Formats: sequence, structure tokens, C-alpha cells
Amino acid sequence: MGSAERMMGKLTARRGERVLGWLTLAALAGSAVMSLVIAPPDAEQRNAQRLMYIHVPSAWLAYLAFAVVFSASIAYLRTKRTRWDRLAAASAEVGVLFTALAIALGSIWGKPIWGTWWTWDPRLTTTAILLLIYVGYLAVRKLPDSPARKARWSAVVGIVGFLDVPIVHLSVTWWRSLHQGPTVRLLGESTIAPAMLAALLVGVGAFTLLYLYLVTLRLRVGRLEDRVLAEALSPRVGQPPESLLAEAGEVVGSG
Amino acid sequence: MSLIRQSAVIAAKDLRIEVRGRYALGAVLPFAGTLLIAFGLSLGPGRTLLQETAPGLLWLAVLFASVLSFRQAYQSESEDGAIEGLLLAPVDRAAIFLGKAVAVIAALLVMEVVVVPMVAGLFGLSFGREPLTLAAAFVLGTIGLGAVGSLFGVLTESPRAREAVFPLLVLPLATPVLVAGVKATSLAVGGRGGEAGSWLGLLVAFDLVFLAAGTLVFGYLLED
Amino acid sequence: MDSLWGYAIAGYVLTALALTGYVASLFARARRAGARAAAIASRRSAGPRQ
Repeated sequence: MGSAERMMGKLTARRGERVLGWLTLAALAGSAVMSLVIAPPDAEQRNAQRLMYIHVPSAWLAYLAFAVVFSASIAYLRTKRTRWDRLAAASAEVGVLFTALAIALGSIWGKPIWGTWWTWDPRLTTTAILLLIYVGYLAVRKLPDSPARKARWSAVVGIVGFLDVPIVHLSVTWWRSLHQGPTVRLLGESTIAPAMLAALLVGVGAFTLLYLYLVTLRLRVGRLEDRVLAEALSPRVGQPPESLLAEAGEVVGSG
Repeated sequence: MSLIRQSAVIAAKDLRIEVRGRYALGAVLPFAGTLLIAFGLSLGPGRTLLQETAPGLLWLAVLFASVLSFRQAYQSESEDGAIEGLLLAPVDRAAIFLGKAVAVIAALLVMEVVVVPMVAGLFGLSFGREPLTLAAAFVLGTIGLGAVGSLFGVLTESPRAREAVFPLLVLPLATPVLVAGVKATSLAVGGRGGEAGSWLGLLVAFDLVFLAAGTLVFGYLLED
Repeated sequence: MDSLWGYAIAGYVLTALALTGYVASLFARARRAGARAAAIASRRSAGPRQ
């Protein structure tokens, strides 16, 4: 590819990223209006129930992000192409954000409803364990080892972790069901009002766009950080290799 | 040589190392004992609380013991470059995973035979009511821990991983074993072993998933 | 608050802060990596140190 074409490719990619960014912002703004203004307060939970419009989408994206990590990890182990490893890393980091957010929001929502910050609700507990598995994934990526090895190791964590989550969920659900305490479910069984359902769906859509945007950004960061390493390792005249590797290490080591 | 045969050879090698070095008996078992006494001291001396928490504390001790055992199992490979020798041999990578798992599982089971009566004594419980359910819970749970630990134990080659990353990975992944193992054990102790069926089933499912997954992906961990 | 608005607002503010913070950190990392790559590349073309 000629350098002119490469530059055009980069510009369109950046433009696309910017457009996606503004679209995401607009979607989030619209979702906020629907959630905070248009949707009515709940009969029992009153305005605390509005947390559903950000908690549920966060949780959904947390699990979707992990599914992407799972798929990208398999793709990487099979094809050895860096792009899949980069996607897995990006989705994992973004996934951690959504998972932590989902847990925090679930806890804040639960406080007025349950009267306490935590009741070992099976879905929240499984999500907490998911967070720990993600964190383990990221910790493996940060080990001081060769990039290829870290990529392979973390891919295995991503695959095995994802397979474990349904089993964890099942075990925690059974475990919790043994103690039918007076805990009220955050999401009640009763049918949901149409305005609430609409707000929820808009929220899910906005957060999905947000996930795509964050992953796009994170992929760009990944490409740039890989480029630093590539630049440092390419042959050069007159520069002692250790200093270049050190420079590269300062940037990539933080990735 | 079939996969089973190869795994058996590797398991035998690891067990021989264990018998000669006595790491499990010499260090991990005393560690488990110390841990249980520490639990007793921090929660006791009231009998009721100790009796209620005994199954949980017992399984926590087994969980930590498994982490230590796998660290050691893979450590012996890094010494003197033994792992290169293993990799050069025409051995299926999965056989290393299965063989090491079998060896550590065997060592842990032996440890459990000592530790369970110890807990019975320290915490005032009778484990003799439903011996079959109890044995099933421990065997199936230990197999599960063996699969997880043998798979990620490879990571302990990296010194930093040895410290915190390996336990960080094992504990959340092994949650179903902890939950199901404790519940099944409590039911067995309470004389309600018949109700433990679903928990034991969960353990079987966990074991199958992790043994299968481990067999398939272990090779990728050893690639370089 | 009687209508429990406080909890909702707390959650939304937390979300906004977390998202803005993360996006900002990503832009900062991109900028830093881009600068480093350029610096290394320019030093390469500049040849051996004086």
C-alpha cells in the first residue's frame, strides 16, 4: 500500500471514530432524557428504579464484552494473527469497566430497596466473580514476559473463564436459593410499563454504541503501543538497542 | 503410546518425586493444619459457630493446599531445565496436563484423609454419617481443583505469576467447586446426603468441562 | 429524599464520571504512544548520536 493510501486509510478511520463518538454521545444523551425525564417513577421503588436504565445495559455489555474476549481468544489461538489478540485485550479492558460499573450501580440500586449494600444476589455475585476473572486476564497480560506468550496465556484464560461463568452462575443461584430471605428482586416479576421498556431498550442501544466506540478507541491505543515496540525493535544505525527497548518498555509496560 | 498411558507415566514420575521429596506431606499438610487451627482460633471457642462453619473452612484449606501443591508441581519442572526435557520427548502436551493433575489430586486426597478427621476432632463434628456422599464430594471436588490448578499451574514459570496471579486465577474459577463441595459436605454431615445429588452433579459437570477444556488448550500454554 | 432521587442521581453521576475518565485516559495514552513512536522513528533517521 502506498503511503498516500495509508494516510487516507488512517484519516477515514479517524473520521469514522469521531463520527461514532458523536453518535454515541447523542445516543447516551437521548437515553438519559428518556430514563430521567420521560420514564415514570416506579410505584414501589420510586425514582431509585431509574438506575435500571444504566445498570442493566452495563451488565449486558459486561457479558457481551467477555463473549467477544472468548471469541477473539479462540480466533487468536487458531490463526495467531495479532488483530485478534488486540481485540481480546481491548474488549477485556472495556469489559472490566462495564462490569465494575454494573456492580457499583447494582449496589447503589439495592441500598434503598434491600436496605443494605449487598445481599449476595446471585446475578450480582456472579458478576463480581466475572470481574475477578477479567482482572486475572488483565494481570496475565501485564506479566513481564514475551508478548506472544502473554497473548497465548491470556487467550487461554479468556476461553476457560468464559466457559466457567455459566457454571458459576448456576452454583451461586442454587446456593442463594437455599436462603429465601426477605430480599426483593430488583427487577420485579410484574410486567414492565411501555415507557419503561422503551427507555430500557434505548439504554441498551446507547450502551452498545458506547461499547463499540470504547473498543475502537482502545484498539487504536493498542495499535499505537504496538508500533512503539516495533519502532524500537527495528534495525537502526548507531543507537544502542537497550535504550530503545527501555523507551518502548516504558510505554508498552503500562498497557 | 496413548494419551492415557502417557499421562500415567507422567503422573507416576510426579508421584515418585513427591514420595522422595515429601513436599505434600512435609509442607502442604502442616500448612493445612495450621490454617485450620488458625480458623478455629479466630472463630471459636464456641462450639456452634465452629460446627456450622467447619465444612466451609475445610474446603478453604483444601483450596489453598491445591494452590501450593501446583506451584510445587510446576516448580520442579523449572529447576535444571527439566521442562525442556519434557517438551523434547514425544509426549502429547495434554498428557502433561492430565498426568500432573492426577499426581496432585492423589496427593490432595491423601491429605484430605488426614485433615477430615482432624477437623472432626477440632470442630466437634461427626463425618461418619454419610461416608459415601462425603467421599464423593471430596473426590469430585478435588478432581475439579486438580483440573484448574494443573491448567494454570504452567503460569507459575513466570516468577511474578507465581506470587499472586496464579491464586488470583484459580480462586474465582474454582468457585463452583467451593460452593458445591461445601454444600454437599454440610448435607453429608447433617445426615441429609440424599439431597446432595444436584451438588454432586454440578461437580461432575465442572470436572468434565475443565478436564476437556484443559486437554484441548494446554498445548498453547507451553508453546514458545 | 422521599422520592429516592438521590440514589438515581448518584448512579448517573458515577457512570458519567467513569466513562469520561476512561475516554480521557484512552486519548492520553494514544497521544503518548504516538509521540513516543514518532520520537523513536525520528531518532532513527537522524542517525548515530553526536
